This record gives sequence, structure tokens and C-alpha cells, in this order.
Amino acid sequence: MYVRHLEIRDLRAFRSAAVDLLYPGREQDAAFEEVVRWPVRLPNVNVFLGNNGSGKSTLLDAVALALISPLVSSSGYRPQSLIRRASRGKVDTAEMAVDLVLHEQDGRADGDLARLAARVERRGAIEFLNPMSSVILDRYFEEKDSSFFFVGYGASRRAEALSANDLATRRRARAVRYERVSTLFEDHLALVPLNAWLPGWAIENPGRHKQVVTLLNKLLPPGVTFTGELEAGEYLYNFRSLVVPYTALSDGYRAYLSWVGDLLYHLCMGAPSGSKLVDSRGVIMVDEIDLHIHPAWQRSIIPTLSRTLKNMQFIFTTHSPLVVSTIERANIYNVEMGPRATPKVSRPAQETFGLSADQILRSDVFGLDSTRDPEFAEKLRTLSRAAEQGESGAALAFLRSASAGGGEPPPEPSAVPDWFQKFSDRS
Amino acid sequence: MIRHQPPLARADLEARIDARAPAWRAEAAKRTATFLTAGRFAEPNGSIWSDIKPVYMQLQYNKCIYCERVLGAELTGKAEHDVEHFRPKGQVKTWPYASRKPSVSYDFPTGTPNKTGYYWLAYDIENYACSCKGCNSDRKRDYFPILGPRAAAPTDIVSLNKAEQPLLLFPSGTIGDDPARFITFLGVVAQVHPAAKGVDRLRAQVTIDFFSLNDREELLADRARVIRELASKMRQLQDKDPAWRAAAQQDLEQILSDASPQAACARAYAELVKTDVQKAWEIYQDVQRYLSPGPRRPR
Ligand SMILES: [Zn+2]
Repeated sequence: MYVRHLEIRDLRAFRSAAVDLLYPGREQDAAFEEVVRWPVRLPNVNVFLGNNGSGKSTLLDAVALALISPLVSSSGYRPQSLIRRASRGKVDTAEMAVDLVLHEQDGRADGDLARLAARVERRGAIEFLNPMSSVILDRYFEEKDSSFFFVGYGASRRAEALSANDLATRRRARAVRYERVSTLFEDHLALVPLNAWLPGWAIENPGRHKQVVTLLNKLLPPGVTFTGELEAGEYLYNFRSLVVPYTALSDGYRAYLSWVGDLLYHLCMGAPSGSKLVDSRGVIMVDEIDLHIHPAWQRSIIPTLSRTLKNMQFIFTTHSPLVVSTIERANIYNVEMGPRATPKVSRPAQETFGLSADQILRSDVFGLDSTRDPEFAEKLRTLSRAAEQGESGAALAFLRSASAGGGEPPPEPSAVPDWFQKFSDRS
Repeated sequence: MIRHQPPLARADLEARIDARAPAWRAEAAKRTATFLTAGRFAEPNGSIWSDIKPVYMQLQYNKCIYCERVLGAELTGKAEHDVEHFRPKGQVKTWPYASRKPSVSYDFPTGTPNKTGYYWLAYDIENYACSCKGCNSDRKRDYFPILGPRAAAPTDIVSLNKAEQPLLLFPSGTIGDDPARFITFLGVVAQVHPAAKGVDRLRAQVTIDFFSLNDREELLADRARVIRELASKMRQLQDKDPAWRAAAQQDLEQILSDASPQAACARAYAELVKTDVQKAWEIYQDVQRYLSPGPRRPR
């Protein structure tokens, strides 16, 4: 299953919006007719680009809500503040709809189309999400196969110690399809860490286990490898010349492994035995893909995901110019504040692929003109503000790329060397 | 931004000025008297504050008082320094102004404009500091944001500081502020010090915004160089040769001293190495890459 098209009305800050999404094998139809180079380099990648609070996350949420709508009443999801607050007049409903392309994996013929729509209504202080579609999707209501596969990861995602028991409890509280997107809606919900499920597969299904190890290693940035070995219940990683447990990896790696591990878990659970995991189709949504990610790694993260899981459709949000330099115009939607205090969604007018971060900032993607100062300063400010909130390296990353141009290969992460550590230990 | 140690009391500053220009204070007093009579600042025959500029340059180790950029020394670079009036002498304009880039806005008042400024402080030696053109001519100009109402004229600086709340930090002299309590750095980025609360927080934020401490590429580059320099000395501290180690220790102390460029940033980074070695290392790697663009050198 892939999502072809999304429409929303009166959802959070949006009055209305419509976007067409890329997915593997999409024909160059009317929605993409002005794209010069087809197929695009990364034909399965969609990025919503915008500042914090621009509404880009709402677009991800809308896709997820439309997708869970058929089972929402028994999913464990509770709608909250979905309907737009109008300054004038009263808005009592919101709507979202997705057009889907289905496959054999979903129990339909490859290329079948379907539409899932939902309406949010307000009664008193409470909002209700009601499915509006009448299509019959039998396999949708199965929980144990790979049909209608979609996952979504919110910005507060994290993985933490979770036992098999915990997993069972979670399953009782939330329907699987909702659980797979629940971090988009619930803060600080734990994802399923690798060590909660992968060890068992080493014995039960060594073939599948090997696939997971290989996949993980393809998905990790240079300099880090997954050993597949456990020590005191934690998986070990090669980090340069060191062997370190998961818990000793820096924030960026853990943040990434948390959702990638959870994704592989859900992928493994559904995929029929004997099938290759990379053949699975589905939709993967990640809010703020650059979260905690080292600046250099931001340049490779999307191409790596796209090429490794080439049958998956990706929908990301980001505010990082480094991420944007690795994709093309057709992959991007700008989300920015438009007139009447409502977000506006549009494709950038200019090509972005291969530009340096500096060039991208000056291109219309970020809305800056070619005189570097003071617009440059304005953007730098956004980055320094990000750095003030803990995204260390944000301002530097930008500066470096502005001076280095776009062609710089991603540097390898490295461990703290002895001499540096010694100074730290000095009293 | 740092406060140079030890901060001078008014009498010490007067002594230094007298040593440099014996007649200056008498002349300044005469001119101030005419401003007081006129109720405004007017200087038809040119000002004389540049005559004592070297006193401040020396106090500040030839660095800008606000951004800690190193400027020229007395013989060669006097023109790079502006004598900065902390409280504007001629008029006070509204800040932030609408066309300012990058734009800033606050949910608290930043003071009302007026046409006469703090005219009675035009020749007050405790109202002076040396600053770079970027901080003074491009940014400071006739602005002086304060929280709440402006004090009535004419009042001396100590009373003024009690009667009105400046939003900018002034890190000079015993009457000034110690920026280390307000602003710290994470890598090259200036941040509000976590220990600063209430009005102190606002002052730190406004000062960072006002002087664009995080938006000026030249400042970020300076800080990056200082961090690289610091790290190279840290490495040298582990050298086999004791003489080499001793030299490193000396350099290290120099880098963290008041006299060095971006000393506040250097101090914060040295502290970060001790409290969060991993983050400090990542920042160092960023700094390395920023300072050596193009193909990366093997480390
Ligand atoms: Zn300056």
C-alpha cells in the first residue's frame, strides 16, 4: 500500500491543503507533469519542509489518522484539538482523506485504488473521529499479516527497556495499526527496542534474523556496525575500534535505532515466512528525520533509507537544509505560514538537489534572496536558536556546509580519543 | 562578553584618564555644564572623547566590549575602535525597530523613545567603552532598551541603574554587570545562562539578540578558532616531553585569560569538556570541519 494523495480541511491550523505523494513506480501523471527528470532519483521519498510550528507534522498526522480511521473507535486513539480554532465563525468539523494504491500484499490486485476518509466532529468539549469510507478492505482488519502496512514516528519517540510482558500489555491497550503510529499522537511512548524481540529470532528463525542484522547494518551510518551479539541484555555495536553496548551510543544513534528497530519489529511480525523483508511495501512516516542526527549524517540519512528499503514509501518532515540538499524538488513540499494565519503547502519553484546548504537557504525553498546578509543572518538565527535548545552543532553544521559546498562526503563519527578524555578527567 | 578583571572603580578610571590626558576631565566638565543648561547634547566644534580612547582599549585588551572581537592595537588600529556611549547621548530610538534583521520581538516593553537621550552622560567616563563597528555603528547606535519607564534627567549612572532597568549588559567597571552570570556558550553558540532567572534572563536574551551574538559569521568563526586552539593545547598536554607539556599548560591559561579573543566561549568550552566529554568532542569535530572546508584531512 502507498498513499497517492492527501486532502485535509479545517485540521488544526490548516483551512485546507492537498498534496500528491511519490511512491515506487508512480507514473508521471498530471500531479507531477512539470517535473523535468523522471523518475526522480529517490522515487519513494516525500519531505514536508518547514519551521517548527509551521504545520508540517499535522500533514503526517493527517495521513496516519485517515489510515487508522476504519478501526479508530477500538484503536485506543483519542482525538484531541484536531478541529481548527477559527477566530471568526464556528468550525465544528474537520476532514482528512487519503487515496491509496493497493497491492497483492493487501489482499487486492496490484494497482487497485481505494480512498480512506474521516471526519472529526465536535460535541460539547469532546471530538470524535468517524470513518467516512464505505470501501470493504477485509485484510485491513487482520492484525497478524503485512497488509496495509504503515508506521509513523513522532518527534518524542524513544526506545526503552521493554519486556515481552510489556509488549503483551501494550497490545491489549492499542490496536496494532494504531500502535504503529501512536508516537505521532502520544508523547514519550516507548518504541519496541531490538533486544525485546530480536534475540528470540536467532534460534526460531535464523534466516529472518540474518536479514535483520544485514538490514540494520545497511541502515546505519559509516563507522557504526551492529554486531548482533548481546551482553547483559544489551546489543553490542562496533563504534570505530570500540565495542560498545546500545546504551553507550550517543543520542543520535539511539534516536535513530529506536525507530528503525521498531520498524523492523513490525516488518518482521507481518512478513510471511520465506519472504524477503526488503520486498515488503508500505508507508513509513518520520517526524523530524534530522532529530539528534549528526549534521554530516543528515546528508546521507534519506538516500540510505530510500535505497535500502526501496519498496517502502517514506514521508518525512524536517527543517534541516542539509537534508534538503540530498533530494529533488519533486520530493519536497514547503509548509509555511500563509495569509490569514493558516499554513500553505507548495512545491519549491527551484531545484534543490546537490546545492550547498548556503545555496538552499538562499533559494526560494527557504525564501531568502541572493544577498547573503541579512537574510542569511535570519536563517542563521533559526539555527542558533535550534542550538540553544540543545541541537548542538546546528549553527556550526550550517556554517561548515555553507563554506564547504554540497559535495562534501559525510564524515565518519569517531570516539572520544584518549588525550581528550584525559583533559576531561583532570581536576 | 566578559568583565575585565579587576573591574575599575570610578576613581581608578579617573586616575588613568588623568595620566593619559591631564586636562581632559576639566574640559569634559565644562562641556557637560553647557549641555545641562541647554537641556540637550550639542557639540558644534567636535567631540573630545576619542582623546581618551586608548585608556579603554588597554583596559579591554583591544577587544570589543560586547562581542570580544580582537581589534587593532593603539599604534596601528585605533580607528577600528569606536568610543561607545552605553546610554545614548543625543536621542533614544525604539528598539527593536520594525526593519531590523533578523527580526525580534518580545512580550515585554522595551522602553519609550525620546529626542534628548542621556545628554548629561555624553562626557561621563563610566558611560564609555570601546566597541567594534559591528557592535556600535551597525547595532548599538541610538538604542537603549530598558524594562519599564525611563528615569528622569539628569541623574548620575548609579542612581539611573536603580531608577531604570537596562536590558543590555554593560560589562565594564564596578558599576557594570558580570556577563558570566548571564550568558554562557555551547560550542560557538551564546546561550542564556541556565542560572539566570527573571529579569536577568531577559537581559541575557536581549543582549544576545541586540548584538546578534549568534548571527554574525565572523564571531562564530572566531569562537570556532578558539575552540580548535584550546583542543590542540589539550592534546599537547599529553605529550611525552615535559617541557612541551609545560608550554601547553601556559598557552592554555593564556587562552582562558581575559586577554584572549572570545574568552567567555573558551571558558565555557573548557568546562563542557569536563561535564560532557562526548558533546564537547562532537563540537570539536564540527569545529574542525567548519574550519577546514573541502576534502577532509585525516585525523
Ligand atoms: Zn563588537
